[in-house]
Amino acid sequence: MLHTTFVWLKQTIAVLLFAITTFSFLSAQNLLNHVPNDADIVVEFNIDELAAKVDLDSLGRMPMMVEFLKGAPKLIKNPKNYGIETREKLAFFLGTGDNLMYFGLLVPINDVEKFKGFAQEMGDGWKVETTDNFWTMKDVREYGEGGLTKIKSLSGFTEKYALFIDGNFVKDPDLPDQFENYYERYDEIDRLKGIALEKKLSSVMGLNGTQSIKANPTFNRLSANKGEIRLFMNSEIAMGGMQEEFRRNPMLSTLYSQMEEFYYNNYLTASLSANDGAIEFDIDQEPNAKIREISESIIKKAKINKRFSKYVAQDDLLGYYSFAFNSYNAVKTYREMVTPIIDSIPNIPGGLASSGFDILDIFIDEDALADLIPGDMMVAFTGIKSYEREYTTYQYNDSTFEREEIIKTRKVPAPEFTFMMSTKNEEDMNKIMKALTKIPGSSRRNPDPIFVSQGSYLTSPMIAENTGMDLFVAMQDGIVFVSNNDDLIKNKLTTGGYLGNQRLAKAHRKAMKKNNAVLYTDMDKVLASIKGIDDRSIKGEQPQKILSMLGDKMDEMWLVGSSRKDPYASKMVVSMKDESQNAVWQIAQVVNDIYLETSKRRRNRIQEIEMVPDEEETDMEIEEDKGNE
Amino acid sequence: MKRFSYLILILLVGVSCTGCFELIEELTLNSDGSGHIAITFNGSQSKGKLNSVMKLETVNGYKVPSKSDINQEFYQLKKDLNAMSGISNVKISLDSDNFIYTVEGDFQNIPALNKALNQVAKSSIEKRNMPYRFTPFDHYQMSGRKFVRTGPDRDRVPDYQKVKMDDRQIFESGEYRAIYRFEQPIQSVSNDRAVVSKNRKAMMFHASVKELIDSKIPMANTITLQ
Repeated sequence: MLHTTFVWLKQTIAVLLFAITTFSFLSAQNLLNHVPNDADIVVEFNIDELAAKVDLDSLGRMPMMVEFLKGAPKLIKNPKNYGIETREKLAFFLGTGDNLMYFGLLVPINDVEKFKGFAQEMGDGWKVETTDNFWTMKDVREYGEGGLTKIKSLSGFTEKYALFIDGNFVKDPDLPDQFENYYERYDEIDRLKGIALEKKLSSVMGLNGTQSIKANPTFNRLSANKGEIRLFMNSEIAMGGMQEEFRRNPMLSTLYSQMEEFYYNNYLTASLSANDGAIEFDIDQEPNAKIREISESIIKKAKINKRFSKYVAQDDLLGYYSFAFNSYNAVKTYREMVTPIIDSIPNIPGGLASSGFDILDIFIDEDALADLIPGDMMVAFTGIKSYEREYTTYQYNDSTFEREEIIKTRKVPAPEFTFMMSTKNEEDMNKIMKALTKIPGSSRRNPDPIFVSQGSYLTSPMIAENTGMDLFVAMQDGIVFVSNNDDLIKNKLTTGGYLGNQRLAKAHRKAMKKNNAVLYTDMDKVLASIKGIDDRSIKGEQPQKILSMLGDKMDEMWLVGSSRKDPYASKMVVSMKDESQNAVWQIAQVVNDIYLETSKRRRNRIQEIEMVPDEEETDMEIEEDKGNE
Repeated sequence: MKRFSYLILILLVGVSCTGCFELIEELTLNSDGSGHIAITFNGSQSKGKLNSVMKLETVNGYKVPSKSDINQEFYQLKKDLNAMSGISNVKISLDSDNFIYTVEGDFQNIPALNKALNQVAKSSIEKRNMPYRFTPFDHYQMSGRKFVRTGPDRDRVPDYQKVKMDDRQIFESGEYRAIYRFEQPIQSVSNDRAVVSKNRKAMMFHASVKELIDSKIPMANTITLQ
């Protein structure tokens, strides 16, 4: 199944590539009217909208695109030659039904005769057939004896659009005993698959507007936002397709009915917009009552500790991830959710696990746990440091080459990070930190405890010995810190963190206030930090050049999720330094530049090899020279 | 010594991950053909990574041995070598904190040493059911005043291509050093990379394992004694 998904993915990428790299004129048509209402996943590619923002012709002429399309099939290389409209909308859908998982790709057609011409050009096995209200084009191959055939490629088309369809059986059909032989068996399965796909093609081509996804009010409501690529997923139908797989396993089948309520009536949409200076990716979920109930109890009331921002220096910031959940409700909900699922597992495993939970429940005080760890955390990266690590090597006496053991040091890069976690119970947290100082280390050289107290913080001599890095654990201001930033731990914690203008900037504080999860990366700074790493693999001319190319273009990446306003929405923004040009164009340009840079190296190497004369060739040339004389 | 060094690497493949290591082969040859050999594996440069890897169950698909497992392997190796004819006084030195392991011992003559090395390599590969073909060969040869260190046989190269990419990285991140000492002074060495000591009674060859695998630098060397 994975392989099939991969093949589909490759095909989709290929189709996208041909769509954005080939010139054609525009015509209006809504392909979503031909997508079945019960499709699991629908993806709409609005190439027309992208074409309005990006010069697709120039993009298609970039060497990397030309190279990429070199080996592609004719239909993908030159779709306009076969009457396929490539500058409009394309739609891709994935469906399950009748023991078939299938995908369809819908493309607009502007010249049906040219499209029919493709089959004629391909020749052997390719044919166009006429049905009541559409044509089919298929590549039929003969196999075995007695004129047996199977379909290698199948599409249906009208004068306006074509539907390419392919798929696989969810479960191999039961076959009579005569198909014991491996090859005969799979030939027969392929033949039956062809028949099933033809049936599916016929039913999809026969859809009218009211049976299409456009008649689905949820789809229309959720897909209203603009974007060059829009995805819609109906998890109820998608999971329904897996029903058969689940039912085959007795343990999973009991879980299936319990899990059903999580994905029933649950929808997800995502859209991608390529704008000047930024690519925006929006994800919206329309959850069912169950998911809504869980989300509201776990996420809605949780908040990221605003004091975290005091302990992160804005000037050094490479990136961070912060999130909050209500740990008390999370434990409660998890127990409520999991207990019936575990109880439903037949025989011993379920019973044992369930009774184990019940016994544990007697000893665990959920209120105390939630007080100790309320559930908001942050990890921030503020630089890449070089740590000195000692190692043993040898020096050799010039006279005799006798060796002598010496200790040397080398520099190892590692990120500077700070992990922060809120606590409402400093007293008990202190007890835990004290306990850490009693855990003995395992090193024979250093039998001391893993952590030792240094007054207001703990350090780990064992970690320092192994990695060269000083790791600190501390608590201040109702926050537990685990960090390798010694300046923060030694100087800033007791003085209330960084000064106002040095701490995390307002935009970050605002994002953390408004959302339950924030992921931020300063790509420019990250690339500059990587560039500065004192390592052979980075210091080379080519890696430095590539890092500069990326650093010149990339700016920031934000991912915010579960906002106070809308807990079911997430947004990702990848921004570029140049705000005047479309982000897709800029990314394509930098990828193309990197392609040229790396291929230049490859070409030089090939030329070097070609310049060395082949022995046989040289001998022949000498013989020829002799002959000429 | 390639096979023997290979054995040492195999023993530590589970903990080698992507760090650097040093492999030192020291051989002292007496004029009667007997001698002393010491093989040292030094993983000290990668001890941070190695300590982390030791906490894993498997790496690159191999079970990660514990430090005591590794030590146990060396004790067994010592026992096996001591039982071989022509090999004696086998000693091991194990520094598990710095990942430095040395095996050393005396040999009666070069054929006895070659036989012992081949036997150890063969049993190690068979014991672990490794997908590498074993073919015995003479690592060292002594004839008159000429001492020959045999280079890798070309037949091994296709085998190396079959080695998993992750495993190749382990081998290729290492450094190899060979030091041979003699009672008589050295007249000449055939390998350009080899250097002769000031007292002319020792020779040292140094290369990265990657250079040797890629055949950029030949390992074979003929040392002519005065």
